[in-house]
Amino acid sequence: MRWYEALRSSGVLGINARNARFISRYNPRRLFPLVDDKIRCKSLCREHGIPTPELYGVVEAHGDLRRLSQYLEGHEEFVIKPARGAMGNGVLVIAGREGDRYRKASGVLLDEREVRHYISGILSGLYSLSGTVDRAMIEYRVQRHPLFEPISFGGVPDIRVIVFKGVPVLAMVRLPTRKSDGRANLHQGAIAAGIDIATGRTTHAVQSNRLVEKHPDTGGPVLGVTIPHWEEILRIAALSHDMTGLGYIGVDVVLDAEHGPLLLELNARPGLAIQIANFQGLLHPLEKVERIDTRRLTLDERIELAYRIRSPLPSPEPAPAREAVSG
Amino acid sequence: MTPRLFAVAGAFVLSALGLIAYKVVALGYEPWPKPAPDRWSVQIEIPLELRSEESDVAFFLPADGPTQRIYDERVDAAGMGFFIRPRGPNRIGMAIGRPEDGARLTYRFSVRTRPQPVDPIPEAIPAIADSEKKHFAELLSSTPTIQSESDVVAALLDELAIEPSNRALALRQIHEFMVKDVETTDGREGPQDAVSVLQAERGGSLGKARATVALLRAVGIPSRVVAGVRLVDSGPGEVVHWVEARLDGRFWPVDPLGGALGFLPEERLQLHVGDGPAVETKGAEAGYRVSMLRERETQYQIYRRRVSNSDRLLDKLSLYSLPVRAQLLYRVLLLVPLGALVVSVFRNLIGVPTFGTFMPILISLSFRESGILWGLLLLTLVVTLGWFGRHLLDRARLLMVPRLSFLLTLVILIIAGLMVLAEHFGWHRAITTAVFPIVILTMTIERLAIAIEEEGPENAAKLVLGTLLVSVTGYWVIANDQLQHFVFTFPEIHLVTLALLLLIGRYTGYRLSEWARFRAFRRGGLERAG
Repeated sequence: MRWYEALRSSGVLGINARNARFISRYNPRRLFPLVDDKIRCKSLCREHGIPTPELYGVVEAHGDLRRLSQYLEGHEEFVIKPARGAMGNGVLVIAGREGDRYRKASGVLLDEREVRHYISGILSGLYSLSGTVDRAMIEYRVQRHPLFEPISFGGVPDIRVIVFKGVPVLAMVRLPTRKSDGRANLHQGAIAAGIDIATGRTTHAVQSNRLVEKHPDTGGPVLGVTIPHWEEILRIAALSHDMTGLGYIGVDVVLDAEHGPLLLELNARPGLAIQIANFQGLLHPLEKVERIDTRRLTLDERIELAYRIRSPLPSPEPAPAREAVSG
Repeated sequence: MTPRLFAVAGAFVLSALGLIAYKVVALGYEPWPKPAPDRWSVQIEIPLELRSEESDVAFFLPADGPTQRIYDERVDAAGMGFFIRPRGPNRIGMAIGRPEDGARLTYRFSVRTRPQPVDPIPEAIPAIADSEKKHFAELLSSTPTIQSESDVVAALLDELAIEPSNRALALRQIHEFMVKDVETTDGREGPQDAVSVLQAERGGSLGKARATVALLRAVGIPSRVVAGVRLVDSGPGEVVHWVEARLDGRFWPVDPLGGALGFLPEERLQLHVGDGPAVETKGAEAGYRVSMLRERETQYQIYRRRVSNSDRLLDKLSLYSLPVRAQLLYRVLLLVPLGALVVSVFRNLIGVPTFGTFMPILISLSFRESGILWGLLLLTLVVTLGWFGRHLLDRARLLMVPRLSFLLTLVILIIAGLMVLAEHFGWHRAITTAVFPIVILTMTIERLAIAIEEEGPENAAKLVLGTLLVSVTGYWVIANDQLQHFVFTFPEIHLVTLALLLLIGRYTGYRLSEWARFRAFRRGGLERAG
């Protein structure tokens, strides 16, 4: 089985190995609610001084809907989302008001009754992971950083960092496209660009399992982009481990034009596509970190460690592509 | 960790194999069911085309005899009055009433055959005595279809030099003539009465039987035509006719089609005696179809009898000691772990995505009831219609619980509608699908709708195909009768299932699907877009 050996020698982490070797060993089940509930996660962040988008209000029950206009008062733009939603599902982005009505990011106008109905759907568990009742949160709408203007379409890009035992091991930025409907969702067609941990520069980019160099909608180059505030992003990612106690997490950070990096959410079962985005397997860096007792290390030492264990730096030039691949 | 796991798994496998080997070798359990040598389920179907208001159908019912015993008789008289009457040596079933056009009478029964000893026919039997002649007058008389007193018959006997003085010899000569000199046809070429067949020297099974009887009667051998079917393992049965000749105080079977004299060439079910038609009707046209299936279930009965008489521990612990109803349940339940094993293999080794974890197995179980084709068809229909309904429902923006309840009601109505439709078209097989897990269908529709919306039609299609693939494979395992027998007889085989699950559970290697997902790493890079 040559393919099997090829994947193994590239250090690709498969789903079975991720679940058995990392998630089940380093992520105790009892800690999952800390990250699955975004409201709990947010208040935890506040305690640990990690910046997050400002929370305007929480709709706990259908009765609270009467006070909705109170929550929304004074906010032109905001985001409504379920506390326990998965993969960015159930997120409603309001980009402005027109009289009594609210304008969605897509330009569609909603009246207050429709917004209430939407929230009521969230409360009854429409988007929640297990279909149980949920809470709806209303929060600050993140402003796209000017750096990302030329390389995203629609929504806000987000940065995913895989953190193992408090050490960032692999990172990527997800760039929304027209194909992904402006969402940073990879399997709908967003671009995934791998980021070199040491420099914060994008080195390799993929859309739907194809290599890309330019954003298909804007034409902006997606390689060689240096992410601003990179070290702060790494710090936020590494701190998320201390804050939750989870050993293997995916940390999602957004870059706000005004407030800089904000932690958006944490994922206790992060996906594996980040390996394709970086053209680099997770297994080798994970194994290196596994051998080190990181509990004795300070935050700075762990960031330092992250710089050191990253794989040999790929050339900042576009990654070598094979024009025609046979077999 | 892993060596210990392998040791546990190995111990499971070895103890299972040991127990099975012991039960086969020392206790004589059969690993595979053998077909019952002597039992068949038979169905006679009579579709009716009405010609008037009232109709009246009479058909022969097979009777107990020296070679067969009939039991478990069930009749579906299509709403007509039904009763059974003796008529001569036969039994007939009478159905009287006003059935609907296109109705069908079905008569099902089981038959157990009893082999007859093959005795040689005596060398010489003298000419018929007057007392015997009087006693068997009916079996010697000439009839419109068996013209034993015709000149044609007398001339033929004269020509062949067959004498009534030694009736044993005459029987052999007549049989040899019928087999060798009268050509066998399908019986559709012309009239099938005795004289016509003898003149044409060709005839079908009924015609040759009549001709044989005419010749036998002419030399003083009491004889009659018998109708029946050849018993085959499964499938439709063709009605064949043969002859019974009364000599030396008993009836000897005579087959004018093949070479058998004194015994039949294969096992046959005797339907009735006489050369009349199988069905007689007034006010309707009737068809006539016989189909059969060799019973295989008897192995269960044999074991059950043995287990109830045994003192041995393993016999007492066997599932055959359960009451029959519980046995029927456990025969199916014991296959579910194999279905779950299929799911584990597909999910964890191959990486096929499915809706829910055990949803595919529940679907396989319902396929078991309906058969795979109907199952797939109905599943597709119900899910498509239900999804369409849900799509419309989306605009109403209902809350989750009322929405699911609405969908559930919709699914039940769709199924009820399809059942009524199936009944009208006569798709009886489809109707059993009524037990299709309705809640499962509802959740499938809901998840499908959410998957299409959230993950896009492409990913939803992958989920649907994955679910179907696993369901069909699971069905293939669950619906396997041989496997069912094996697992029920040797439930310890599930120690092997457990061992395999332990090993799959600790498999941390790549899934087959990751071969495609991570192709970049196999090929040293990805293709450039565009």
